Amino acid sequence: MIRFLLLLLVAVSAAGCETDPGTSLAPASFDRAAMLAHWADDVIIPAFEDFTRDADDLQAAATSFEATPTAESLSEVRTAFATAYLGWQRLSPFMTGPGEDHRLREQLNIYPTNTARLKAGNTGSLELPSNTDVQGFPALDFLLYGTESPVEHRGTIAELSRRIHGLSSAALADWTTGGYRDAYVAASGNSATASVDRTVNDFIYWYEKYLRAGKVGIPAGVFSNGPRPELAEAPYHGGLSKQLFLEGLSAGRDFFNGEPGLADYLDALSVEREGQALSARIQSGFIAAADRASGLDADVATQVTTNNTELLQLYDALQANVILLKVDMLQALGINVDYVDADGD
Amino acid sequence: MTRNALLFFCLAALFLTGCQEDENPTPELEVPETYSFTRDGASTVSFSGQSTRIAMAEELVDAFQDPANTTAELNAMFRNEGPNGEDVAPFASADLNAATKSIRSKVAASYDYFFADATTSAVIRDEFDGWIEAQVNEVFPRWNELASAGVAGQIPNGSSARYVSAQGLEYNQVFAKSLIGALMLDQTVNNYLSPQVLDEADNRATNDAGTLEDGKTYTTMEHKWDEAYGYVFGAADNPAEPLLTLGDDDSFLNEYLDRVNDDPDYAGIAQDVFDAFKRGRAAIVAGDYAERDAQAAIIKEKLSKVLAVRTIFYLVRGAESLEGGNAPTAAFHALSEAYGFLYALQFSRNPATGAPYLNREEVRELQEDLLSDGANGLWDVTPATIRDQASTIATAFGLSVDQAAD
Repeated sequence: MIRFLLLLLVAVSAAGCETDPGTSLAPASFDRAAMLAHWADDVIIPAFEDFTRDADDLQAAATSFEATPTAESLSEVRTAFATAYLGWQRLSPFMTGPGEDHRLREQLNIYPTNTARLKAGNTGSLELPSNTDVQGFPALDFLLYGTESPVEHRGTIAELSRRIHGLSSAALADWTTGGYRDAYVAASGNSATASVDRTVNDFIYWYEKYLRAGKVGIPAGVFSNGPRPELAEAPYHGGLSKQLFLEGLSAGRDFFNGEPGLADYLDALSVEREGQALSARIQSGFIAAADRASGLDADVATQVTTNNTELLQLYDALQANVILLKVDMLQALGINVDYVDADGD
Repeated sequence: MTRNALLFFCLAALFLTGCQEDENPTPELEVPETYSFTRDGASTVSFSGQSTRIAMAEELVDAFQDPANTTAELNAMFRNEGPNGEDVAPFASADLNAATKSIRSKVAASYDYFFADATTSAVIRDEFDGWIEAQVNEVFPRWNELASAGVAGQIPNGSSARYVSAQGLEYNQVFAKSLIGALMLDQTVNNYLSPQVLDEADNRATNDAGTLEDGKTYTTMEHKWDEAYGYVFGAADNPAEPLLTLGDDDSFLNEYLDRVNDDPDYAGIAQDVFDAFKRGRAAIVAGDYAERDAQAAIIKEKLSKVLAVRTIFYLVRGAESLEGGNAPTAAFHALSEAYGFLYALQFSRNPATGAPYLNREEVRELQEDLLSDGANGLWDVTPATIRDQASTIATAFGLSVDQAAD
């Protein structure tokens, strides 16, 4: 139904604007394959490489903390944890292909984590889908900052850190030596399964569900009766979640503006909304959201309890771009939304 | 979302305005705004047995997801009695434990389809028993293991897990969706809305004379009609105005009537069903049995089509997932729902023929085909097979695949 509505919306809005979706698809002047090559070689693979290096540092630090638990080695794990968690934010928008195949986002950053099961220990194979809520960064956040004695959990901390690195390395290898990069760039058409359509859909899905809802809307209580600080990201660290959000927002903005990227693509098609280039309006949306966030507490859970209105205002700023990205941009680019809200059963 | 919702309302408004029938009411028929009928100031509406069975079914379907349960425990919930007919208390709700109703005794138990076919009825009940046993014996032992082709276990579902058989079927889905057909739909359209049941014995005479059942406020015919209503709307917060909470009240017929109603291609179908229930009930009060049966025919057709639309919807969703290059497991949930809904279609009722739109044999063949592209059922099924099935069902029910699929 959502898709039908979207089509209708497209039809309705198309009637009222300059762009004719029938002829606006990829003019000869815009090279989709070049954009895909840029995305693969200059954005996605580097994000995988950077993150995998951070994850390697984290597992090294966690392994030495496991062997030699001291205040110093704990501090090193914590630092490596924060660095890798920030690196993950720059990778999270790009789960098309190997990231999705390895269920990277599900296994690295599903929160809230299940603290009761983590405390009880012995959760069984981390490969089980039923164990996504006892691994990844949220579990490490709890074990490193939310327990009385991280030392007691150093075995689990090391195991979870090694798993993050293992998953990320495997997905990176698929992109590079596994040949996914070439197949990705070659699929430069505009069908639902072509790379541009999939990457853009995955990007907007990330923006809507993980950046807007997960980091801001859900803790701010947009989807519930009142604020839910316990559902914020990194609640045990207590000073990282705003930075995690900003890093994600910045990754999204860089992806949109990269050259050649979506902003160029829209400009090549001369897409305007209300007398202004759509690319510029989306760009302003990213900036407005960053401005809104700048005054927030470093910890989203704290912000929720001190002044939730400011977080709701950030949500609204993010929401403005959902409409521009998901409706206006997709219409102009002739891309259909390929996801629907979960069935709920 | 807000924009979609707004749009939906506009669209629904358009549809409603466009589809308003030129009603030609019998002058003396008083149809109330809500499903409220009274006699001497007291309500004559009652369907507690239906609400009870819906609540029991909710608990039973949930119990499929707790691997600590045994076959005996699940059977006790399905039958509300022990193996030797003894009283049991298998439910979390004390009210349900105190109740004497049973789900299983009403499975494939309609007058029109099974009064003279106890053989098929028994086979169908055995099939439900079989899904319970399979869940306990095949899936529970593999609860903490990964599934693979031909091996039961977990598959990923976003950030959580689903639990499938060796063939990739979620038995809880198969059981629940099949039950919508074998219990809720069958009892409604083939039993309580049947003239055989409504007019049984001297029901017309007692209804005409206003003779009430012993100690009750209603005539037998009124009560039969309300029991049909109860299988659709009996779990509603306010059963007199069930459309206010439609879809939130149960996980069975009510929920899927809502889902189909949310598809703009079928917007208004819930109102149509509700209006036909009200009008038919008012016709009983007025003693207008031709009008009663005309309204029953509307309900039979629309509710049957609801299940067909959902079957097609889930089939196409599964096909699209496979065509999108996703792992086979990504389609298992939709296809498990489709498999169950498909089973339910044997209980559908075409008012023009008095028969199902697809009969049991046809339904079982389609189910078998869905699992026969390779040795491992849903692990091997191809989008072409799935789309063939969607189009077969659409043809049988006079539906459009495209309309049902979005």
